[in-house]
Amino acid sequence: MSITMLRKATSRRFPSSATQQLDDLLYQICDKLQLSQTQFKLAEERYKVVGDWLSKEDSPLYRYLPKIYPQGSLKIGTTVKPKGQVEFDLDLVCELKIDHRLITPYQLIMQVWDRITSNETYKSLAELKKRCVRLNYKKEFHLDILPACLDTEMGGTCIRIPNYNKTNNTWNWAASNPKGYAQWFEDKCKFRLVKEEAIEGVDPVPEPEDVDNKPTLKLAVQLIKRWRDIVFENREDIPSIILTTLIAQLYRGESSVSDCLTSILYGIVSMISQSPEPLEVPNPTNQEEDFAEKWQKDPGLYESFCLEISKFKEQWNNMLQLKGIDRKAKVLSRLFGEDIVTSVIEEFAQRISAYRKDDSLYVSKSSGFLTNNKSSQSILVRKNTFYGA
Amino acid sequence: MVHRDRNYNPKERARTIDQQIVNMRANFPNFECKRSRNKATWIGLLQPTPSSNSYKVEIKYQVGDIPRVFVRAPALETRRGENKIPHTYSKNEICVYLPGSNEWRPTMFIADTIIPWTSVWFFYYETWLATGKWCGGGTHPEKRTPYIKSDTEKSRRDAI
Repeated sequence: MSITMLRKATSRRFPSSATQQLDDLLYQICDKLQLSQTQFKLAEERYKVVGDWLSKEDSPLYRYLPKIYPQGSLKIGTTVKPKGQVEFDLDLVCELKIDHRLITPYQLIMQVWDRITSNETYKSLAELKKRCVRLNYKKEFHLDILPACLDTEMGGTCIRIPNYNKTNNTWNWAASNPKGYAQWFEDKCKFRLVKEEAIEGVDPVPEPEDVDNKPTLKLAVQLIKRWRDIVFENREDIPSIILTTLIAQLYRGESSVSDCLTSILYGIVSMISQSPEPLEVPNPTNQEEDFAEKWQKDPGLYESFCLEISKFKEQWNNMLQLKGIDRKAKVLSRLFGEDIVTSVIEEFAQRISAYRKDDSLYVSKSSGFLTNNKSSQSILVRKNTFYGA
Repeated sequence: MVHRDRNYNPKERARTIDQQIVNMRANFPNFECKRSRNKATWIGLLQPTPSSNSYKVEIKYQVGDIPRVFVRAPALETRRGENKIPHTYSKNEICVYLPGSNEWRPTMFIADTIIPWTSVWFFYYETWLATGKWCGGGTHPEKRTPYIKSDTEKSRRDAI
């Protein structure tokens, strides 16, 4: 597993276009939303220890060779800190080598539950949920451990997960394929837009390869998930898996995250308007599963999603036309949260101040653009003290 | 308000208005200049960042007086619930340097000093509107300036 960090360069460069400037701001927003490298390492450490506990020789699960691996946003690098909550929700799969026909869902989850709670440390942290055993690490994260067994009918990387059905108080099997899904998503990330210049016969300048380069698609997913958290009271109403799948399907390889959002919003709104029924969002790695089942069951949820996403598209497109950092910030605050946008802009201003203090801030001749590029076309910003009441 | 430049020293070789005009035209050719005797007025647009607004500014300068910077369009705004804009003399005149300090001297070019400072001012103005924080530093008349402030003055103020 690897964590994809954001482009480090964005904190250093001076934007040369409004799109680039907006992109930089959006990267910074994502950076604030996601699990930090330290938190990530801590989570990794914690789940390895849990994994060891589950798979130790004296563990009743030992014979099933349990393997723990991350799934969902932790796996694909699209974590978003829940609004008004310190803890991240991180999903782990605890896969046991056993055919799902040889065990009941309840037996499976209880075996994992019993083993976890037989450890004094975990006992105080553990909580049984409808699909998982949750470990509550206060002020850090919730580690959700989803017990799973092999789905030998579907084969491949498909698994089955116990699922508690509240209406009839029973446990059944839910189908899943987190490894397959992650692979599908990562493949989508690699999509590269064929630049128009290339068609016209001009060779595009290849973008420098940067290991810290976070794929644009992941940033778009984080931003739209954040918007969901801001607009919808209950984040479960619009599950991340629906958003992630829709976004990945619509992604056409844009390298600019703001261009990417523009086309994805357009795409979602078009799909909605062309579909007389609530959208179906089949699991790309298991066509029988519809992630958007919730929408068929609760049309009210679907309606509010349609309304809000259209508003998002309108506000976004208006924002692109606005001039003024403050005006753009106002719309972005509404979409992604005021606190985060304010602090990102403040940090931007402080970065500029650092250049100024360091005598390495310039203004471009003619336009007055601030730049760190010393040239015959720029003038040094000398030391000054703003005055006046 | 007195606009005489405290730093003006007739013995020092101040830039002439012609020098200022030629230099402005070379560096900021989109600024229009009106001139009368030893006075000049430049009007032009400045945009601190690609996402920023373009601001129409008017710079007025007469050799021996301080250069003055007026914002002509769009009108400067205050934040909701506040009635002041930091570092302004009036509703549309901004203060980009400390009078009486050596930041501006008549031996300097407007294009090398006042114009870059003005663009930077707009940058901080926009981020101030967005965040409520002026990140560009500066000083206020009532606080006096660190370099004028004597120890006695400071202790007197602290006593209050």
